[in-house]
Amino acid sequence: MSNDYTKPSIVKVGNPLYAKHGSSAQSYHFVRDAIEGVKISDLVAQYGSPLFVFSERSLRLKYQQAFKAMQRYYPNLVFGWSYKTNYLNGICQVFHQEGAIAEVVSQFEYEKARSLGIPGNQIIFNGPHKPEGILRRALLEGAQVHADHFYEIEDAEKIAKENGSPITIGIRINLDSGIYPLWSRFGFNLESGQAWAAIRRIAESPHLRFGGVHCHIGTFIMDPTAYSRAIQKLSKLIREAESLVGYNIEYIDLGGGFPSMSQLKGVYQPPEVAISSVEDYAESIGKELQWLASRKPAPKLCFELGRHLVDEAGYLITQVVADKALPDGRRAYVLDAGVNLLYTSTWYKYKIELDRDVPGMMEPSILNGPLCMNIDVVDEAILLPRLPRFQNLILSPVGAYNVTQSMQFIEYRPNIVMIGENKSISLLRRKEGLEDLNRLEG
Amino acid sequence: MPNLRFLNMSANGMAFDPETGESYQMNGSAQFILQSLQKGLDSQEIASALSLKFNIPFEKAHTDVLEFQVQLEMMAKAA
Ligand SMILES: Cc1ncc(COP(=O)(O)O)c(C=O)c1O
Repeated sequence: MSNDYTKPSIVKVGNPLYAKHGSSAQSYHFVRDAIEGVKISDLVAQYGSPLFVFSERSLRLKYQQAFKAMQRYYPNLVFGWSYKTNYLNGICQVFHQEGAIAEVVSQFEYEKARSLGIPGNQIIFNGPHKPEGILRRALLEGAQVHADHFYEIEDAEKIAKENGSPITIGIRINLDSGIYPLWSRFGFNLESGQAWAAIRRIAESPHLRFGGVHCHIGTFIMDPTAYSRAIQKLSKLIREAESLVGYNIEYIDLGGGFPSMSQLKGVYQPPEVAISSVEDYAESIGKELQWLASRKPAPKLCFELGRHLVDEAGYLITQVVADKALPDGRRAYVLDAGVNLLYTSTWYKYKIELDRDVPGMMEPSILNGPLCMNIDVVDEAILLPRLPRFQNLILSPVGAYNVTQSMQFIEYRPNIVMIGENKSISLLRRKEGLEDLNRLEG
Repeated sequence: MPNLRFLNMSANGMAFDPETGESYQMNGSAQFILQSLQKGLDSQEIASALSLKFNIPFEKAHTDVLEFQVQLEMMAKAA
């Protein structure tokens, strides 16, 4: 076939997308032919499409940068890897090798961390659902448990009583740090006095010891000063709690929430402009925590960063299955990956790259996934040259929450690989098959 | 009803519809098909010509011509 043939294309001048992008440019600028030096075409040839690809270098780099930034301000620092963000064993192991302990929010995640060889006393246990069996195991194995509600304090008290020795427990706190939405459903509310009541309940039990406070104010927090405001409120509470119990707390845990370099829908500045650096977050937090940092010994300062560490390490390769003209003038593509694999597409406008230069006139286009569902939209407004069938697209960043929240709906979930040093490729999880799914049905 | 087959075309692929005031941009193969339609050729004839001009299989050209004709109709309706 002739190289200079592209399928016929006509677009109406004045489409709002052109106005936004400044021109009816003749070439698409986002081209990436490799991830960490491994060709996209080779990855697809070996592992098929769609394919999640993780960069080990990026995982380690993000971890080290964030840890170093915080270490400048605080001596006794602990990072707990937020399992829910991505609990593929291979990903967890990279963070554990870097020094992270585990942060888990369910029985399944607790068991997963233990099965990876993480001892109980290296696990932070959050979440609103801790059945008594797993709570007992966690408490007796020395996990850092944060009660989410009063029943959990009672459960812990009962377990301690049966065990015959006091057990340390902390509480999750929610507060108004000036950000929207306010996450008030987890833990105990500070402003209303609920958190204080929980601390009193622990302090007044002969079987419990108050360990510390945990506060995860929300996710994708774009304003570093939200953490300063949260710490000011927590500091007051800590001082009062310490004078009530008569000893110093063991830890303060600030959760996660730092953003990744992602374009949020409705935010018009690019992430490079809209997102503050991790050093800015460290500064906002560090300055407010000086009073604890200067203690000898300083209480532990825990973080549970999720998306900030893993999002940018993840790419999804997907292929064009088909295209057609829509009556509204857009070209609609069907991709082999959609919202079944891209939970974060609700909030993110992904960076979309092609693995080669595709010539041709830009057309207003919509990218749909493979689901037989109208809601399966990956990008509803993008200017693209006319893409041929089987063209590879690379979507990023997709490392956070998409693997753990991907659905087995209609399609099999795909292979997931990690590219390590020296371009070595390891299969983190193989593609599902019918036998995997049928096995559960007996 | 406007009919995009009668667009005024310029050499650079821009086309103007005097009835609606809308402008359109086309690539090379689209211009070729539209010019052929304006000459009164039918879709089979255009597909043969397209296949010869761009050195592509007739079957592919035929699909593209039919698909493009539908797109022209859609655009005319939306105008
Ligand atoms: C308790 C807790 N810690 C940490 C995280 C990780 O959050 P992020 O990915 O925003 O850093 C979450 C996420 O929801 C969470 O609920």
